[in-house]
Amino acid sequence: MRAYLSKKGVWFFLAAVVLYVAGNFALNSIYKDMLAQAHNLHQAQQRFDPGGRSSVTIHRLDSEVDYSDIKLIFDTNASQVTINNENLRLNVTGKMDDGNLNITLTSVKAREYSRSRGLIIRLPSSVKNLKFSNVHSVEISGRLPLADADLSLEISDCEPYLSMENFTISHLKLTSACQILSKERRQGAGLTLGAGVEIKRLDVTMQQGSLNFSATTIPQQIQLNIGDDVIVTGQRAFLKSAQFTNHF
Amino acid sequence: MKNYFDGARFGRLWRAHWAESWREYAWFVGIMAMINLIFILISFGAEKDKTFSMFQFGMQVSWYTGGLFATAIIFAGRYFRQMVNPGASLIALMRPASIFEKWLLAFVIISILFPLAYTLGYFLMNYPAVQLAKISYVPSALCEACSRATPDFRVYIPFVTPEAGKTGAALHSFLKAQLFFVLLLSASQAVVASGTVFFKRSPVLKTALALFLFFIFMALLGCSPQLGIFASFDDDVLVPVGATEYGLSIGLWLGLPVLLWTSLFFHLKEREVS
Repeated sequence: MRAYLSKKGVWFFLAAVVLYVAGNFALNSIYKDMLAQAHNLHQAQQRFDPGGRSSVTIHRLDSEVDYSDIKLIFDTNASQVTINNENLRLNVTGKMDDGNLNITLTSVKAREYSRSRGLIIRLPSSVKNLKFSNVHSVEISGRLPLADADLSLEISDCEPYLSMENFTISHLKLTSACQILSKERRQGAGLTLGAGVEIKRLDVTMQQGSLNFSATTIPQQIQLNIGDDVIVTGQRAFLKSAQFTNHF
Repeated sequence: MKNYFDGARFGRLWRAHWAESWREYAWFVGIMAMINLIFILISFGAEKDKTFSMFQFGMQVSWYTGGLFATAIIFAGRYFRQMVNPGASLIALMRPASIFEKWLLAFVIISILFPLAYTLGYFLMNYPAVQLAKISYVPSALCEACSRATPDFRVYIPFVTPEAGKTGAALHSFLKAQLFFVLLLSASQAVVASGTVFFKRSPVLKTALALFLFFIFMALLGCSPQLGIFASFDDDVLVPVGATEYGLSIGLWLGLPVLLWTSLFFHLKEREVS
């Protein structure tokens, strides 16, 4: 050992090891400080009071916006729209405009501080209309307690893909404005009604896109006004009870 | 000064090294070319949907950097191969040149000429393959209208070809990543070359074992490599990069290869004395 330590080459090698360890610990410490600063500057939670019967529009401003999905949760106990955004590279702004809450997603140029990229929006049951523009992958869940509760979903382009799980509602209406497939998505807009979804009445107006029904409870009334290119997937009972029209 | 470096003497050392090693280098290049060719043929043969993703820009970058890293490490490990043999190491160490010249020759060949030769060879082999893939490309039937799937068949040349659609800070980020790769490669080559000079018996095995144990120890300590300013981000408007982070990142990732190459210099010197 003494013979090794008398060699300058070994000392330079040890200096490289010390530099590697110390440098990495120091850089890690700087990173943690910056992360704490970034969290302080970031507005993670926002609340908006949408008032009575209202609508919410979710719009992604630019394609650089980096997020994995949007979770929309209907909360019967909530009286306000609560936005929970832990993604430091995503900026969410909300603006009330005549009973409509406009939620805009924009990108923030920042390093990838955390892996949390999801966006959770809690909605009160007073929200009756949801509009989506240029957003992809939206998960809707929750429960609307009123027997006559209705919800209207409007898709303004071919980008959004909505999925519902564990969601109970009386009347669900989906209107998609997607007419010409966007170059980015071959399937166009779509809706999946998954496990735990209970709907009494389902109305869909869709020229392009896909509709996937895998829920076990079949709606009592199903009206599908769909174009020739819409792909419908569902159990025999669902397809049997559905009324198909094509007014395009 | 002449004791350290003499141009004529360095030239003679270079010619002696070349006369002794050109066959080994020719074999090395030949084997690399064969492996690359086999992979190119496999990639063409395995193409079912004719999108030739293996020859598109992103995969070219991965293939180039992965291939260069692996072969450059093997090359660095073989440069001082004569040190294992007492007779051959004596001849190499007794060659009429200063330690600095021997070290400089090793640095130039391992860390500069090998990556350049690899890049040239890669370009010569890859260019026709990419052009062939480009003309054979058929858009995926599942994604005829996809603009995202627009193939990028530009030939990757390090530090020259930018990432598609990137400008300003984003372009800068790609250059930073390439610079970091060069520094990391040089440091890794220095470690391997130092190991082969330092350990007299089974140097490659001992170096690999030492590195393995070192990284296991670092993982147990929770010391993961921090890239600092070399991390892949275009810009940070939330918390802009500060002078400390700049200094530390450059100091660490530039300091490592400098210290490790210096360590090789002293290993060579000490080996000559012993």
